[in-house]
Amino acid sequence: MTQTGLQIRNVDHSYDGKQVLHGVNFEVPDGRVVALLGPSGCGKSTILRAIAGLITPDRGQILLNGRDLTSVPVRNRGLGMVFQNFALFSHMTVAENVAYGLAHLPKPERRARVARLLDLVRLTPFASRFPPSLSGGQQQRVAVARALATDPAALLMDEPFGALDRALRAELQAELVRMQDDVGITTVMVTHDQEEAQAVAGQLVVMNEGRVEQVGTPEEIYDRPASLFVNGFIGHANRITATATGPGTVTTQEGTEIALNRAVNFTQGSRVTVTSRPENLALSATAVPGAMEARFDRATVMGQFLSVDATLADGTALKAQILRDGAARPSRGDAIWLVPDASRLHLFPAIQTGA
Amino acid sequence: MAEFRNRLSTLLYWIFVWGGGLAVLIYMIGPIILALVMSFNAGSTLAFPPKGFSLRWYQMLLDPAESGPIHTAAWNSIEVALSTVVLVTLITAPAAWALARANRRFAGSVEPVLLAPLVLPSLVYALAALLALSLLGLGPSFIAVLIGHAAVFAPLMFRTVLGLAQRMNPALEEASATLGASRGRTFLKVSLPGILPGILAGAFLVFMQSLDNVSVTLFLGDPGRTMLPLRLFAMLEESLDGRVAAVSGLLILAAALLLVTLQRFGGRSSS
Repeated sequence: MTQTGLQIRNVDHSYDGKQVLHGVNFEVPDGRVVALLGPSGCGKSTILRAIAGLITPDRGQILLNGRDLTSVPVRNRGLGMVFQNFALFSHMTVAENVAYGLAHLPKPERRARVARLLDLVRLTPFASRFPPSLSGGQQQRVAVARALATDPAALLMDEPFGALDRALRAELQAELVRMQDDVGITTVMVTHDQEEAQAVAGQLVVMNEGRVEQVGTPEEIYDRPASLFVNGFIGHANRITATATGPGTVTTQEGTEIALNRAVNFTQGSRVTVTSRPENLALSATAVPGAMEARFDRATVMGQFLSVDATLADGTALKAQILRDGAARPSRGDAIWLVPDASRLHLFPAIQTGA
Repeated sequence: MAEFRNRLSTLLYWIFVWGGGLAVLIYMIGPIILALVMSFNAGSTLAFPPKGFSLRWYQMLLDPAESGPIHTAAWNSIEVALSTVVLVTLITAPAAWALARANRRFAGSVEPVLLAPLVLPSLVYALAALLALSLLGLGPSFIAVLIGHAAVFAPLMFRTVLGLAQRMNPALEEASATLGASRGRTFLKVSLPGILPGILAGAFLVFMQSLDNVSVTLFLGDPGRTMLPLRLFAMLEESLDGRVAAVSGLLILAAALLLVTLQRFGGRSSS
């Protein structure tokens, strides 16, 4: 049985002797959208360029529907690519841009195809305009139409919303999802914006320093981060320095004992970093078992929530997010107790802080 | 006090920017206007102020019986200038385009070498080229002038094309490749339109420079084929011939027309 979709296998790459990809592995199931997510310089654009064929990786394989693309030149890969800043041909009209990849088709067919794509991205009235006279959102849609015109086996998008302002981004993301439902094309999108990745992709590949840190659905990555990096990169993570003191207990640096309702495989006495999402910290005005004493700094209203900043005695800054209704409002400097939801804490080996 | 200083600085700004600008304009445009006025002189020699208006110098210049040698010289010069433009375009445009895509350190070290002819006095170059040619047993000829002009003026186009090629977004050519275009099609459809304004601007500069160059032409030119600038020199030496002003008038007109066309064309293709 031949495999469908896109497989990236053990891809390594270096630029000028500096390794930027370390054994990158992931898959994109046929017809699905995967987002490559990570901070700038993590190698996500490099892997996208390797898939497109714009660079040849030092090692590894790229398979599309069972076919090894590694030695196929760019122009024969049959992939559509949407570039950052769109890379539209400014001396050609919108229709000419969309028709660019269709030179091999007879004229009537080409014209029909262009018309259909312009209709898909709702740019029919702009067919004879030149790209510089269009808005950013319209230019992005031209780029998508141009990439889809050749009926590619997969669509690659490099920060497709990066050049647009925030309000427009959400709108175009929704539009892309809708279009994806219609077209159903295997898509790889590169982004540094976690909200964008979660809005568009069903599967995230989180990368850091040239390595894949975790592959999973947005829920899996948020709820069960594989590493401290993923934990902090997707959403906010409070980090508390602690020591494993029993099969199911940790003791924070300040001596608060937190009973986890599960066994952890850290040897007793090893240093760990405990993380908690802001929404998994409750506030208490009195000391309760497992609560950490902190100094209240400020509270910020965020819709129905209250975002509370507090500091532990050792200087660790923590964020808690609680429902605003009926919440007590301590004043600055007051002692409060933060109660972590023990079932939702994550434990990682302690990060080495410069001693 | 602050008020005074403020006023003083405004005054100085006006003196330097507007006064200086005006001085430069007068210096640049003044002689051109003077030449134009003199070309319509009704008098029998080059003189200013003119003694009435007439087209006699233009009539005389255009009359093949009277000005045959000037026509020949002009055609010779235009032939050299056009050939130079073609030769320079064929060498320079691909070179600049390739250099813009080359390793940055390599490009940085090669660029000054390629631009060197701009700062080398063309007289020195012409003399050296003549000596080199005679060592090879070759004499002054059309080909020698052509190669000389190409060598001296190529940097003009190199500069204008390189500027555009370097500013061109590399993703444009990549986009073309992902859409299935061959390297050749990518160059013709994407790269060339991007650098075309630079080629046109460079062609204009090279053409005008070649047309009125004296030193290279003088040393390397076939003595049997007069060229326009040399012919004009000779005419000025023999007599204060008003046709020299008429030639200037025509050259100014041609340059202005070319420039306007170029701006129209360049403006359209880059927007």
